[in-house]
Amino acid sequence: MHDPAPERPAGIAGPSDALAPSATMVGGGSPSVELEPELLGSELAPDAEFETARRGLGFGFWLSVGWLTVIVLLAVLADILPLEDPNATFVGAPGLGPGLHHLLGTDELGRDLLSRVIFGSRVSLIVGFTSIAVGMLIGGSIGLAAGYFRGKIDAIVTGLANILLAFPALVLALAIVTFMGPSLFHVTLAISILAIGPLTLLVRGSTIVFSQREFVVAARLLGAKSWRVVYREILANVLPGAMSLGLIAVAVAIVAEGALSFLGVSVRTPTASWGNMIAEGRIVMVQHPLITLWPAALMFLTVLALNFAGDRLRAYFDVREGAL
Amino acid sequence: MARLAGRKFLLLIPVLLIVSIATFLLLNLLPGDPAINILGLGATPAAVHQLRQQLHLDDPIYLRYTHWLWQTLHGQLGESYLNKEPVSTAVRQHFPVTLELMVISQVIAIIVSVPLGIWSAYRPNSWADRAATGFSFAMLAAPPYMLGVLMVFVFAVHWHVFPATGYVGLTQNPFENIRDLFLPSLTLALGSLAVYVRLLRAEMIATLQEDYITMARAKGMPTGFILLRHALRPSTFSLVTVAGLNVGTLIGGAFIIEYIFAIPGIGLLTVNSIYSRDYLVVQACVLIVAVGFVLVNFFMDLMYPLLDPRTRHARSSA
Repeated sequence: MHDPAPERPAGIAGPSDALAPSATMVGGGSPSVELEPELLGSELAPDAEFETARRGLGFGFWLSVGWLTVIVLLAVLADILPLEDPNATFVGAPGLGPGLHHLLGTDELGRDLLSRVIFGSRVSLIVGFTSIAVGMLIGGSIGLAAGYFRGKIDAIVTGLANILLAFPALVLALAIVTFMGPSLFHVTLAISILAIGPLTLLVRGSTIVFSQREFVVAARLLGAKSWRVVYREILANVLPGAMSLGLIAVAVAIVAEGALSFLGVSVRTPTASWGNMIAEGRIVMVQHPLITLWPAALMFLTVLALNFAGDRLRAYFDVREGAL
Repeated sequence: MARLAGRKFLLLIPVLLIVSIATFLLLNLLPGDPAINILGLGATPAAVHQLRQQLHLDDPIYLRYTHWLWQTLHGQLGESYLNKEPVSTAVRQHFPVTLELMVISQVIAIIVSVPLGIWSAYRPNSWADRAATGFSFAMLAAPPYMLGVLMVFVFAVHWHVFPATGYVGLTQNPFENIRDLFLPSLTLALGSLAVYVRLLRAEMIATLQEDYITMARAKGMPTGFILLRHALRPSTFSLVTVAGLNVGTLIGGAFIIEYIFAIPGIGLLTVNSIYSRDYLVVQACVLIVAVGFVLVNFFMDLMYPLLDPRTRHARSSA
């Protein structure tokens, strides 16, 4: 294991540093936020970590991937699956329990819950993956440049990212979406903007680590152009780690979208999303608890699967401990 | 050490300035005329014009900013457009409630996570450790709105142990106040707790492999003494950092939780003001929350020298 002590003084250089250690994701309203690679790295006991790297990704990882595949397939194929119209009321008696005709039952307006959770998953998945893809593309490029060139660019980028992080994410998202008008596009935009800060710092952090490695110095000495070093040497090494933490970031984005939906500023009703289903079911929870429980369970499992898969992948790609 | 604190304090000023500019720009650059937002689409041009005058919306932006900053520094945050109440009064009433909610939740989180983290690190891969890890993973996947709704369902609706909504002031009736805040605080605490356990466990495992721990064991010191006196303090650095950063998440969580449990804190005030487009209140709340967040992290930063003597010299942390 690496010894954390000698690195410590450098890590606490100023208030701006303490605002955002290299890879912390401050997600909207969610507790699942801290993505410090160092810390997650020593998450397992060293011997367990070593075994993970050797044995492969493990059963839990494939279970998570299986669940995510099922959810994504259902969301993609929702239109051609034999489902009721998610917004049609009184397709069955209101407040039915699970049964043959309506597998998960119906809500207080007699809408089919199975159809609503599946169509609702579209909102979460679209916002989650799109916003992180956008955030990764923009934040990643900025982070690569800042981490590789350092100097003034780096100082400006880090400063800006830290200021972006000084705003509580949910408050910022809430303000942006309310004043721009609630829509799928604006929610995605708001969460993308919020994702840029932490993702920039994350990529910048690992870029700095790799920039000092021998193979990068060698490439530079051989006369490779900057873009080539960044693209061929650094990006190739930064990408696996960034992608695995990206999965965890998707989970954070899904949770954030759920929070906005819950507060009623994401997609407009009657369009279903997991967040607004939880909020709607809350009102009739005493009589029909299942209306809230289904979307909550689906969101819980999806976020859990994303976190778990991301964490496993990160441990798998992190060769440092395995080399000991 | 005083010099170090002074220098960090000087760095704080530009950060706060930029935060104030960003808050101001955030609500001023967004599309839409705030006057129309406040008055509604059916407003007469005369009324819009009058309100624009009143809010100084026709001045150049830097003038408006300096004017606003000057007023804010004097505690003049304007009036709520909705009920003509001074914004500073509203903020002063709501802020302590949120603060109490967050403090109680952090106390719960620390009380539970420290022993759990120590035990998990002391006996890694034991059943208790596995249970703690599993619990952490589950809690990290359960956002506050989900937990809050479930908590209300189980404890308030099903078992009638705690009230579902409502809030009694601390000075009015401390007992009822704690009872009303317990469920919301617990909901808020569960998320932080999961993070803290994982962090403390990870860092403590690393600390326990240090030579001085082996030395202490070789001297025959009692295990409890080694864990608490030798290993705990050096293992709390990331806990302190993350607890500071966590305040941002906590504020987000508090917004949702105050909304669910109808607790009149700054979160409920902000959310309601956003719904009613009470522009100045939103601006004041965002500013207070962001400044609070920066200040908390500033003080967390000052805690390092207390925890770690190696960082006490200005030179070493320059």
